[in-house]
Amino acid sequence: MSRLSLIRDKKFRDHITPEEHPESPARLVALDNMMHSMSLNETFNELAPRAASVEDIASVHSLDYIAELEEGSKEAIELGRLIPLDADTFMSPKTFETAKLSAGAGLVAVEAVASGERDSSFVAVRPPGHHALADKSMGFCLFNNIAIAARHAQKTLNAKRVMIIDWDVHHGNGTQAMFYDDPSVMFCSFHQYPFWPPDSGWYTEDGSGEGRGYNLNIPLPNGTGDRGYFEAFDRLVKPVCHEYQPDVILLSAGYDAHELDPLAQQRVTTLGFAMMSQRLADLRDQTGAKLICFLEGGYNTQSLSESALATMQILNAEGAEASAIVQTSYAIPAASGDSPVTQDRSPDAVDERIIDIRRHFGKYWKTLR
Amino acid sequence: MPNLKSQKLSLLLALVLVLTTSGCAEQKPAEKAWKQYFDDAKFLDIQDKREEARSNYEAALCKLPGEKFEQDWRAELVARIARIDVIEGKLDDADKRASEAMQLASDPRAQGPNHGEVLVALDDLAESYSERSYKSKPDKARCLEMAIKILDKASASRAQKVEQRSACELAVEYIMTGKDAKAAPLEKRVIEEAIESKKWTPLRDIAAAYGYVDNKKKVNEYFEKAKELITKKNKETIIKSSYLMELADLYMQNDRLDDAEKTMIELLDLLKPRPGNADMYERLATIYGAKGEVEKAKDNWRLAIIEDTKRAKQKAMRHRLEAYARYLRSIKDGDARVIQQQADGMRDDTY
Repeated sequence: MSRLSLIRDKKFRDHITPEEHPESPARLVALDNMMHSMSLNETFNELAPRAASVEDIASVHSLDYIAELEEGSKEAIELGRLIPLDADTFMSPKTFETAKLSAGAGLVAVEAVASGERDSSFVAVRPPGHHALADKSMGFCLFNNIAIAARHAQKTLNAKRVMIIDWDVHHGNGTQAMFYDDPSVMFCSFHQYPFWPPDSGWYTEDGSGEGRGYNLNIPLPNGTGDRGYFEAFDRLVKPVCHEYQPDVILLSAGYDAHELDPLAQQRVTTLGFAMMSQRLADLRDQTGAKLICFLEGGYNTQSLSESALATMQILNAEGAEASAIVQTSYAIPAASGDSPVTQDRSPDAVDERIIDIRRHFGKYWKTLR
Repeated sequence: MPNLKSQKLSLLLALVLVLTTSGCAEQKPAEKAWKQYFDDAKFLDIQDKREEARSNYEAALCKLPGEKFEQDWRAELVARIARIDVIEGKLDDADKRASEAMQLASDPRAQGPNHGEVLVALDDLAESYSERSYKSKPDKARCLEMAIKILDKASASRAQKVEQRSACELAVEYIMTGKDAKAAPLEKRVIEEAIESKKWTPLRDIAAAYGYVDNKKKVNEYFEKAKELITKKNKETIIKSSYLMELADLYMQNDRLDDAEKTMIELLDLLKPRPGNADMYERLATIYGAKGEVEKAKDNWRLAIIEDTKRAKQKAMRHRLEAYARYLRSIKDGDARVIQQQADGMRDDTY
């Protein structure tokens, strides 16, 4: 039996963006095609999404903002064109419905792991969500899918501690803002820095009030590469996760740190994402937490679909041997002498940054002292 | 008289005791699976709890089942134990294990599942040898040789930058100790890779090694090669200043303090009209400190800090003040506290 539920639907292609816009329906088409070509259509426990209710969405967004987006879609229908919300984010006639479905897919994913039969879910949706603020869309994001799911997990699963890991190459500023003073949701974000959003995601942004120390930003220098990401995961996220002992782990699974991605420069490979996914699976198994992944960025359709599938397959594997078998396909280039994971040891700046972050967070987390 | 039943029971208990206190079972409680030991060991390793990590790695090795993927996991485990050996300075043990890990990693049966992690473990091992070469002068050549061997094995052709660094360091070591024949093939490799990657600094490092042994002809040869790789207008000054700094470091590392001082003064003369000489002043201060010339050392520390104020870089200034405070503490100077307070008052959140 599969361990992973996959929530996907052709309706997520209905959110239209301008031609040449990187966040396009082609991203999900590529993922569907790759699943088909790899004969993976029957591999996972596939579930259909449902639209989130206004009440669900209002757990993190303001009612005014929800109404504003609804109006935006109506305007797009009336005018027969796309309505820009900012320089990057657009409303098409079906965007509001698609965004509700996207948020609702997360609720289905939470319920899927709540049933106890499966411990992991992957939500392959768009529009993405981690930049969306309580009352503002931003950076291709409308509703903050992962934040809505976190609140739902607290209700449905009675989760006392939720950990959100965000490996999208951009800082998850929206998610950070929603839980900044809330120790029941720990937020850890790997991101290129300085990058977009500007001046967002430095490690001294560490939470406020009771949430101090529960917001772990890992701003990584340009060109960090696989090894730097592993270092950051092993030396920061992993020990903190063990100390925090979450009931649920949510992943903002952006794949735009990939070396082929046109929008960033972090040079992570597909094997790198596979190995990061294995680390995530290990955390799930070691802590006994449920795990749900939300597709965020990733704008090269090939690297996005390959890497997302690597995550899905590794999370679906039962036991060390099965996950080793899955990893074989990703490790083959390394085994044949072309070793992406060691092609450049991470720049010294990465080590220094990790040391700085450990020093800063040592006052909050024993394991980092 | 004890009855037969209880005698049999005692024998059985004794047998269990013998079995559970011998061999692998000696090292750990019996209930954990090998993967659990492995996970625990990696976690302890990250936290620098090396001895606990080592015993868990060893326990995982003992429990590792003879399965299809055994070689892969074994290679990673052995490499990770070897790394701990290197950090703890047990180089004989480390070398044996490193060779074993490389052999296991080359086995075709090991090249598949988990191979990415094997490569990472080997790369970490090479890095630990490289770090050891800085920390322990007598082990320098030995550690660098092993680092290169591992990287050649583990990193394939795409790790040139890392290999170049280690090859360059080893070439420098050989040149400085008069082993030119051993240095020659490494120099060839460094030159080829410098041209390919368009990075001239390894050529400067080798030039500095020749400067150290006073071989001016070779220094000039490397200067000429480096010039071909620099496109900026003031390439002569760039090469010369960078070379002098490297040479001064070599003199410092080998306690030739008068030569180091002379070289740094030559460098400061060369760069006099330019701003931003803070690092140079700090180096000169360190040299004077090592020579016991306290007032000259303090003067140069102050000059370095004044240069930092011109650049208005809070983080750089904080580090400089901390370093100056450390120096003052080392000579039991009462100003150390005041300087440390000034450092603590600087913001630490600047990027």
